[in-house]
Amino acid sequence: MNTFQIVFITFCAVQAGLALRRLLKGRHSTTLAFFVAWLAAIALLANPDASTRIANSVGIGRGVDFVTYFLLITFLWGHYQHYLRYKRVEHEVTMLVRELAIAQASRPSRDHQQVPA
Amino acid sequence: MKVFIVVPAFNEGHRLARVLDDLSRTGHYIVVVDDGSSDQTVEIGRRHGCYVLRHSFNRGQGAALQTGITFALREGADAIVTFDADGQHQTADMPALLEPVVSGRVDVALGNRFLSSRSNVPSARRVVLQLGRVFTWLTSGLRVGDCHNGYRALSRKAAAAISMKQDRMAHASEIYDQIKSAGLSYEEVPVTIRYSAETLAKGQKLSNSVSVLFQYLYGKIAQ
Repeated sequence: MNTFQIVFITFCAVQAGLALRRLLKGRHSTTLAFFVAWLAAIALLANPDASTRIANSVGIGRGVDFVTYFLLITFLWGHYQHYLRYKRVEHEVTMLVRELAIAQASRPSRDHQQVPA
Repeated sequence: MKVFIVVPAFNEGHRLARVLDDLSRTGHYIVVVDDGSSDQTVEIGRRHGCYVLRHSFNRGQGAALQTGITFALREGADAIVTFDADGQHQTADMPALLEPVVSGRVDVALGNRFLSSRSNVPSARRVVLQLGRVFTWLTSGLRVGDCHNGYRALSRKAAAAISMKQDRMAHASEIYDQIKSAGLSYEEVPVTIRYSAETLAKGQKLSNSVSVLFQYLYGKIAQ
């Protein structure tokens, strides 16, 4: 095992441990996904040929290409999910600001009462 | 017939005062929606005898318009006019804009600056607006002669059917989609839009068109 593998496997193991601690406190689907991802990273780091075997089995030549495609798709999916959440929160903020503005609307004083045309 | 004029305003200052001077002579109810301005917008609105609503912080013109429309509906509006605070819209056009809605002929009257010979649309903006017109046709199916013209009159039925979720400038494209999807009838009315060096400096830049396009497309994806 080379230095690169030792450093990164240690890092991934710490992250997997932290994720596991959160999982034990309560069930979170996102944390479970991260826990599985950290374990997969450890497995691939410990056995670099595994990614090539997986790549070959799905018709991709190199393991690194398989990992790149997988990460790219995961990143895009994650980015889109965050965007949707951001838009939802933005909309909720606007609704809140709107209701506050309407509740606190100042009305024309008696001197300024408009006469509808 | 209760007509409410909704004026979204963001740091329009003295231009807003001039606009409200004119609007107060129409005799209609005026709703100023201060979209988190740091100037005297609230005081100016109160001084002119308007309903004044204040967004705690800036949410964009689309959000401010929807706030004003929601408020006007709750106050029992029969028709609603949307009017810019920067002085580009002319109060003199309002009776003609309201007529198709008030008479019950259509649900929405859309201002069209190109039907008026008095509009001084800069040529570069004219080109962008023509492209926008084609874009509106492709996305909403609505064949309009002008687009992103904020001068409109809505019947109560139309105002209740339209619910803008685009907080910023893309609401101007979204509204066409909603007119189409809600099956609202509409008509275009000539209105004069006066551009000045001041309004061109503060208003929408042509370069913003791309940003508005992306806001609109992203918004469509997120729905």
